[in-house]
Amino acid sequence: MNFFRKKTTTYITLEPPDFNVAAQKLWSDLVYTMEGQPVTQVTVRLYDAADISLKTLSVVISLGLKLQAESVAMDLEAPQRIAHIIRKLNLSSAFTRITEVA
Amino acid sequence: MQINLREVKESFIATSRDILQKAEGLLLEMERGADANHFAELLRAIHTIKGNAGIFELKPLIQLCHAFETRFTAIQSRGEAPATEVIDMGLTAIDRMRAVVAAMDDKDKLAGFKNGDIIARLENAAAQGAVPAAEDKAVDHTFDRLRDRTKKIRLPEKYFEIARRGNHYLTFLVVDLADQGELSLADFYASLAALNKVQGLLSLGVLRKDFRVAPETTPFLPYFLILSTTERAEEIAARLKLKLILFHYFLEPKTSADIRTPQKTGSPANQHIRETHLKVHLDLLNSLIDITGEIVLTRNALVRKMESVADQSLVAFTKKLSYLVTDLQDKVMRTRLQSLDALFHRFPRLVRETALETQKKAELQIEGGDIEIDKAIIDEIADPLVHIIRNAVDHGLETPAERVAAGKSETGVVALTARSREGNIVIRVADDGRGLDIEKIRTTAVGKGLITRESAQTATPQEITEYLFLPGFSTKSEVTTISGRGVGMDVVRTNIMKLGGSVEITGETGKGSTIVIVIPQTLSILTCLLVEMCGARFVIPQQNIVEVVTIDPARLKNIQNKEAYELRSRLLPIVSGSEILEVDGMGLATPYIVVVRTEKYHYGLKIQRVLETEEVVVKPVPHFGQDRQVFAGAAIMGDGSIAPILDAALIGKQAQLQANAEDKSLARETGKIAAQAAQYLLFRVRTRKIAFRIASQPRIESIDPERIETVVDRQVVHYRNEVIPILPLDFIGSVREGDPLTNLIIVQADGRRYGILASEILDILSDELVLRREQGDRAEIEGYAILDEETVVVLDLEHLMRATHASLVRPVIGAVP
Repeated sequence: MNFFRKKTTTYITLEPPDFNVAAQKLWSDLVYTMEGQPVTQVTVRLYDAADISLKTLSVVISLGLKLQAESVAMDLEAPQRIAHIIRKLNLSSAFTRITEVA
Repeated sequence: MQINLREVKESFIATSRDILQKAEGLLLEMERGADANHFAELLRAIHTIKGNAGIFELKPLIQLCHAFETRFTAIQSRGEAPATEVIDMGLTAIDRMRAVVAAMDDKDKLAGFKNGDIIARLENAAAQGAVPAAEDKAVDHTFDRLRDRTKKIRLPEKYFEIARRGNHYLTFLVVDLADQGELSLADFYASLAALNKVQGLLSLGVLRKDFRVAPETTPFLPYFLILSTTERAEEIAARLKLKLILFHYFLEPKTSADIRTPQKTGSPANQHIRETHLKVHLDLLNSLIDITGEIVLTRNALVRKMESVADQSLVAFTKKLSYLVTDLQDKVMRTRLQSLDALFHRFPRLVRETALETQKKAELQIEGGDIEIDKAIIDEIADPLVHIIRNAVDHGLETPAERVAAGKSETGVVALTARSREGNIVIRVADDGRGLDIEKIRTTAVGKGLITRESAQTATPQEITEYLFLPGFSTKSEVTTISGRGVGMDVVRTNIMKLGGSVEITGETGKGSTIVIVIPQTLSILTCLLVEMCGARFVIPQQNIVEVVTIDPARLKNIQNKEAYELRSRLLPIVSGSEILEVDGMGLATPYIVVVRTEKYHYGLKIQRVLETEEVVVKPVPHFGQDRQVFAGAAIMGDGSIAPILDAALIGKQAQLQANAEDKSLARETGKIAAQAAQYLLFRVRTRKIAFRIASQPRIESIDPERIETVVDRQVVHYRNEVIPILPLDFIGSVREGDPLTNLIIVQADGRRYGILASEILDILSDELVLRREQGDRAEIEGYAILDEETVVVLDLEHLMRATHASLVRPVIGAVP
């Protein structure tokens, strides 16, 4: 997992190795990226993800919902197919915006 | 409206007992293999108890149920099958729940229950998953809150309409998306899309924020699906490869039985139509039976008085009243009948636990649990059966190693079967274990001083097995908590005999043993034949009577100093009243034999007179008769007098008869006689003499012509709650018109009964009839014979029955609508 901050915006990139870690670890890593300075905007990018496990997606969605409750906006950048399924499964409300990436 | 709390409480106790019994059965099944249905049913059962317990604020019960639910929900959500120790734990919890329910009125007792150990075991066991205990508990707690909150969700009315239209389940199910193993998003989506093609997926999404109570340390994403489906929630979850957290049915499909019942939807009255059962207090049923007994006695007395009354209208009323009382008695007796399953379902657990304790492997096979029997009898036989089944596992079955060494499978089988025979219930407990060691029993009996060495040496194996029923007898050298104290089988026999039943044990070394209990189906009221024997009146239960025959002195035989009677190619052992009662019966003529049959014996009892049949109320046997051990009780007769009820099985035993198949000398002689000519039943239908060849004795009864009905073009008769077709004899010209026929001959073929109506029963012909048959004679006629210068039509009964059956099953074309 890569992440960097730009002022109050955090950019997180998840790649295939991150998709196999235990949900609990991924969750605690993601929560860790929010610590320190206040964050008002988070963008999570899913790279090279033809498919991901429900477990991994749940962690990302849970983060979106958590941030939403804290009034922090979260965008998701995901491959077209994943973005499509997320919308179909009524999971898109966890994110402020979903951007389809190649 | 006033609520009777006592009634509510009694209903709660009764319902809880049933539910806990069901839960116990489910747990035992789950040990052999658990699926989603098992979990769902088990959790539903315990949840119902928990809900009901809330009404009475039974906190100990609520806590137990809660811990139980938590534990089993956790196992279910992990997709595991419960291990043996979990089943043990569940069974222990169920036992404690039972105890709490039983003690709910006793505050001290309730306070005395320390359930902490069981709850702690359930909770600790719940912690044995992948996550630490505290978190697991928190998650389970979350699930509980979720369950309660989601149950109250209001779904749009259109969802109900859709489900109702398709007669579907309206299912609300919740899964934790974060806890679905390695299931991929694409696979989940694909299976959801496939499901949507065949079932109605109405809505889906993450539960709203106020439903999500996730612990901070772990991702938890409750996701709901609302479906209108023909399948149950567990099946849907299996189809989607999802682990369920919870589900609710907001609507369930109507069963076919519901659909058949015409109903106005939503009408409150409709709910009453569906209630077909009521819980009635046993005391009320018992008092109903007592009152019915008194009514039967009064009816009998009235019928007796009416014999001397000339007023025919009064006689007719009395007859009608008599029929009604018989009907009432039959119905009332049925109210107390309970299926044997009510007793049998506790035995799988008994076998399991006894096997665990004795380190054996045992399987219980049950058959005949649907047979109904008087509840009072069920209560009485429960303890003896527990003892017998426990003995079968502890004494009967070998250890797995011994079984393998003996060439048997590791797991021993205990077969518990029940069947109904001649008004009695025969319960058989058979095991395939080590059987009976006759020599060991013989030695033990002598060693314990129960019999002398001399009598032990001359005793037959059958007599030796009887020692097992002696007080203090046990061949086990080691006393366990289960058996070996030798206080069992004598109590078993005493209890069974108190019910008018019998118990026998047979077995062969290495081939297992069998215990057969024969008990009457009902107590209280019996249909009996009143007879005179040795100058006194006795009653014989009708269920044991095969027939009554007039003695032909030429057929009385003496086979090895035993009296026997040649009856239709068979020698029947004969017992005389003076022999069993040890009274002087010399000089009293005994022109009749009552042929009786029990599970074990078949013999004839010599009597002086046949008096009448009567329904009698059974009372416990008075002290004077107990030492004779041939009485099943005493009957109060219509005139108020008392007559002893003869117990056919005890008489057979007292007279030292051989069991049915064991009397070789009789069997040998019978074989010789059977080689002789065929026999015919000769009867008259109006002016014509008719006969048919008899293979077994038909039952003959007097019949009220009013009980004969014509349905379309066929005659039927109501016989013991059965409608029996009458065999048509119209093809014999001279029998068509005339006086009503008042005798009914019941014959049987292929398990079906038929009746033949006759004016008079004439004789049984043992001489060979010379039959003549012309070409073109009907197939129903075997031939014609001349007897006393009169032509007798001899029927081919088998053909007649077959033809009648074929005409009954053929559809009636153009039948009256």
